[in-house]
Amino acid sequence: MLWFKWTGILLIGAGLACIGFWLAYRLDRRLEEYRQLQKVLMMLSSRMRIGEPMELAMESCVMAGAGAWERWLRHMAERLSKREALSSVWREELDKAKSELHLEKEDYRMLETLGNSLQGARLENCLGLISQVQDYFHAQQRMLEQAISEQGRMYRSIGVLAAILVMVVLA
Amino acid sequence: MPDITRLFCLPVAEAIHQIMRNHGNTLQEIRLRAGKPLAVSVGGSNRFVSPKGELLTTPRGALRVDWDMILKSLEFMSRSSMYAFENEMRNGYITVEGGHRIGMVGRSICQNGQMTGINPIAGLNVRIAHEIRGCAEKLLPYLEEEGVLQHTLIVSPPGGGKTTILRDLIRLASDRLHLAVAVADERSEIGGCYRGIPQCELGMQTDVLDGCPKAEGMLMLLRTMNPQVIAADELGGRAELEAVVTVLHAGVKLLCTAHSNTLEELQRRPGFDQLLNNGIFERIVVLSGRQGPGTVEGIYRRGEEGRYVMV
Repeated sequence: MLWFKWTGILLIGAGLACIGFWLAYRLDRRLEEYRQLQKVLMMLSSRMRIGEPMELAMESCVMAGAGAWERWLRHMAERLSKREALSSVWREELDKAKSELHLEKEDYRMLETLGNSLQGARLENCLGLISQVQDYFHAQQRMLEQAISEQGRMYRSIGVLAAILVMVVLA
Repeated sequence: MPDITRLFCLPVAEAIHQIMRNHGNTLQEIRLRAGKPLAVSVGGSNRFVSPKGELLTTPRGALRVDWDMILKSLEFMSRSSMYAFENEMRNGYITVEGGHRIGMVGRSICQNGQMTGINPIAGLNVRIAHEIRGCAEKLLPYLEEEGVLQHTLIVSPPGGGKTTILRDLIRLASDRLHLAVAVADERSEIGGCYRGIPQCELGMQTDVLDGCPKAEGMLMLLRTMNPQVIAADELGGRAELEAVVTVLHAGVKLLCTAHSNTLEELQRRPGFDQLLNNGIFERIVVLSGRQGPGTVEGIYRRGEEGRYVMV
C-alpha cells in the first residue's frame, strides 16, 4: 500500500514539474517560430522582388530551410501550382498548421490579413505589407525574449517547487 | 499545351470547356468584360456564350461576367502572382504559361506620363496560342535554297497566325534540318515557357531565352549559344532591327515575324524601310486571316538589286 502511495505522489510531482517545463518550452518554441517566420518573410520578399511567382518563391523558402513553417509553405506551393487561389490556400493551410505551431491568436490574424492582401497587389504594396508584418513579428519576438528571460525560469522553478510541495504534503 | 480552362473561374471555365469540346482549335479569343456577357471569337466570328457553353448571336441568355469573376480569373492566370507581371502590364497585356496573351483594360495608373499598370482591371481579352504541328511543312521548301534555310520574315496583321507558323518553322528547322536554333522569346509567346522550359514543341535542338528583351536576347544568344538560326517574334523597335543586322552579319540565319497587312505597308514603316530596301531578308512570307489564320497571301524572294519578287 505504501508503495502505491509513493508511486502516486511521484507521478503527481513529476506531472507538476512537467507542466512548468512545458510552459517554458512553449515560450521557447514560439520564439523560435517568430525567428523562422521573419527569415521566411525576408526570403519571400526577396524572391518576389526579383519577379519570382509566389509558388516558386515559397519553394525557394522551403529549400533554404523554413523550420516549423516548411510544411505550410510546401503545401501552399503545391496547391498554387495546381492554380488554386492564394487567399484561400493561405488561410486553409494556416488553419492546418495551427496544431503544430505555438503562436497567439493575434499572430494568426496578422498572417491571415497578409495572405488576403497579397493577392492582386502591386509588388511595391506586397513588399510594404510583408515589411509591416515583419516589423510586427520583430516586436513580438523582442517582447517574448523579455518574457522568457523572466517567465521561462519562473515556470520551471514553480513547476519543480509545486512538485516538491505536493510530495511533502502528500507524504 | 496546358488546358486553357485552368485560366478561368469556375462558371467561365465550364462554358469554355464546352466550347473547346465542340469547336476545338477554332476558338481564338475569349473576352471577359465586367457587367457584360461572356464573348468569344470562334473561326473569325464574334459570339456570346451561354452558361452551358452554347454559342449565341445575341446577348440574351449569355453568361454575365462580373468583376469578381475577372478578379478570380486573374488570380488563376497569374498563379496568384500579379506582382510578377508588373513590367509586362505596362504594355497592357501579360503572357501566361502556354503562350496565351491576356490583354487588359480598366483604369490605367500613370507616373510621369507613362502607364505603369492597370487597376482596377475591368476587362480581359484572352488570345489563345495555337500549336499546330506541321502547319509550316508546305512552306519550308520555299524558305530553303540548295538545302540552306534563308533569312525569313513572316508578316501578317494581328491574329493572322504568324506566331503559330514561326513556332512550327522553328520546330522544323531544329528537327528536320538539324540546325541549332535559339529563340529570343521576350513575352513567352513562342515557347510558352514555364520555369524556363518551353511548353510548346520547338524541336530537339532549340534553346529558348525566355523573358529577355528581343534585341538584347538575340545578341546574347549569338554570343553564348553559338546558334545556326535565331528566331524572334514581332520585330518593331529600332534596337531590335539593329540587332537583326548584327545577327545577319554574324552568319546566323534569322526567322522573324512583324505586324503588317502587306509587304508594301511594311516597306513604308520606319526602320523596316531600310531593312527591306537593302534586301536584308531573303524570304518574306505574307499571311492573312482571309480564309482563317495562316492563309498564305504570298511568298517573296529577294531578287536582283534587293527587290522582292513573288515566288
